[in-house]
Amino acid sequence: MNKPIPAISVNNVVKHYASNPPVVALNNVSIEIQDNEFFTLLGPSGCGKTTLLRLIAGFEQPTDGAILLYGDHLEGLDPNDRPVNTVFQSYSLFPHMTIAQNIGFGLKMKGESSVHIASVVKEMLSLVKMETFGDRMPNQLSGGQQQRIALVRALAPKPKVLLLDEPLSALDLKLRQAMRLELKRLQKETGITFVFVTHDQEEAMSMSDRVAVMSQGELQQLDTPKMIYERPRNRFVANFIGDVNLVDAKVSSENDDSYICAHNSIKFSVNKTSLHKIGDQVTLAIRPEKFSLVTSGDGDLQGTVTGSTYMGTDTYLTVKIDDLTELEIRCQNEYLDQQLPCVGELVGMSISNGAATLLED
Amino acid sequence: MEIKLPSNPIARRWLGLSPALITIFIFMVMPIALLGYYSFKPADTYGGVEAGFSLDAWIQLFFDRDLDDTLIFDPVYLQIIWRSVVLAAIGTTISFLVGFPVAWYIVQQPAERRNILLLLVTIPFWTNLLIRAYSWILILGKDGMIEQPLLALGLIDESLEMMYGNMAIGLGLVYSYIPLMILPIYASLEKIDFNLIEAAHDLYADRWAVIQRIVMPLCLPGIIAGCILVFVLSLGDFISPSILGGGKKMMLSNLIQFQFSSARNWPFGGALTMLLLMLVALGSYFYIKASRKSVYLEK
Repeated sequence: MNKPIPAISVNNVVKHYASNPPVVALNNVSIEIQDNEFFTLLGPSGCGKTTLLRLIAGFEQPTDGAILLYGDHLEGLDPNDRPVNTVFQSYSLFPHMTIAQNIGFGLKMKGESSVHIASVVKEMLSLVKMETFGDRMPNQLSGGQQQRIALVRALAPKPKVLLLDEPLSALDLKLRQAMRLELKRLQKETGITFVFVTHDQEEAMSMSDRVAVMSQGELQQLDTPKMIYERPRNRFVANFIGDVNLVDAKVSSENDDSYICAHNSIKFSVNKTSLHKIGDQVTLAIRPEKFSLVTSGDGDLQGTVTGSTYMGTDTYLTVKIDDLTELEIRCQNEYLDQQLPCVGELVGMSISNGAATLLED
Repeated sequence: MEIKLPSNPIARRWLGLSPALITIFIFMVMPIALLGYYSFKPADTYGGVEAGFSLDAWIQLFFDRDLDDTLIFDPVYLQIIWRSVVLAAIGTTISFLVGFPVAWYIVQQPAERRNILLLLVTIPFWTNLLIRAYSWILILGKDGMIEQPLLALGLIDESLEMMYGNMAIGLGLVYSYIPLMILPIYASLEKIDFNLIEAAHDLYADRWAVIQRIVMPLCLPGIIAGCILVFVLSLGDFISPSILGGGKKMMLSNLIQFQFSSARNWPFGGALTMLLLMLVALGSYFYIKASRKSVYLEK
């Protein structure tokens, strides 16, 4: 069976900025983005995610490496020669044009007929349920409305890939949540590959088919949202996405596909996600909600509650299991009269199977 | 001493504006009104005006008085006025065609270099315009900096006669006023959100389309300001036609100056001045009105 051609192949891309001091924005990054995928580049500011997006759009040229769009080299092509459109963080609607002219701009530049443009503009406006807004000027629209128009303006020329540069960051929380659903819907309806850049892990988790986590110009992990959360590859990914307990342990024995790692007397079974010898010092990542409280003396590990914070849906407890190790655990507040252990109480905890992940560093 | 301000807010506003209003009144309204007044007076042979009322000056704009006192239509002054308008318009057009790319180039430079380039644009202002006009004679004139090497190399046999003509005047106008085109255009280009330019590129606009459809419309206020400044100053320019044009090709301002000096016809000078003023005001009015339509809607 033929392997499908990826929508975008980023092959060993390096990007240096000759500023003073010189900056390495991307250091040998390789990513394949599949056709019809909602793909997210996630990372803190300065991690290189926006640089990568600008390289794909053609605003900047890579120092080294190549970017392919459905198998075709993009090298040397100006942004206007790439069948790729961008939704900008600041919307960047043309202030001197009506909404309809804004949406039709890309098609007009491609030399489409005005009849065709008018019908696409109408289609696009109805796609975001703003049929009556065609004759307005951008400054007459709210932020959320401008965002929708920026989105359909980029979709109107039917690009092969749509690039989105933190498009939701300027919106307030409620609007942002509504737009997430809308973006996801638009991606499914249009069948266009979306490459979404964000620093917001929630956004990345809730919309993406796959997520590439980046830091300091390097790809840290590329996987589905679920695997990124459940099986973080290294400390950076584990810390950046959600909360995590990092536990030092020593490899004590191994099976075909798993290691048994020991932290003092506590034993964890972990998948062999990286290779180690028996006796190696390793770090395990365990998410706070993987623990469940049991009576003191029972369960996999014992400890003393040292802190308790009520957060609405959950209560966060800190539990000291030895002099050097404190764990954060999360208990769901299921009913009003739920009795959780108080500070100073001894508790037992059990860990669900496969909850611990072996980190590479 | 306690200063009592009027309690009426309108009176207070007029009081606040009064220094500006008084200045404008004394230095602008009064001299212009005086010239207008003079234009309706009979001329005194030794300069100044005599008592009484006369439309002679205004009639002289269009007609010549024959020996038997019949009026014959005489376009000689209208021709001078027309030439002034055409030269000013050509000078403005060339200033725009040269000035816009310069402003566009400067805007795209890093911030430190921009300031240096802007300084270079304004440097000619530091020297007297008269001196600069004379130095053009050294460049363009017979055996000047351009002709000398060409003659020596045998590329030309005789003088190119670049001085003392419409070309030299036009060059002088462009040279004198192009900074006034570049600076306002630069100021409005600088305000353009460069994301818009990237967005247009991204939506398949090539460089020319970006300039035509995004940059030009957005910096239209600067273009209008620059064109009005250059046109108005060119139309009233005195130095370029008298020095580079050698006084042979008269422009409106030379004609006006001539009326107040050698010709000693103050009323006619006043009438010409009023006409120039009206031309400028009318031209600016229509230009602004026409371009308003294309500037984006106000809120």
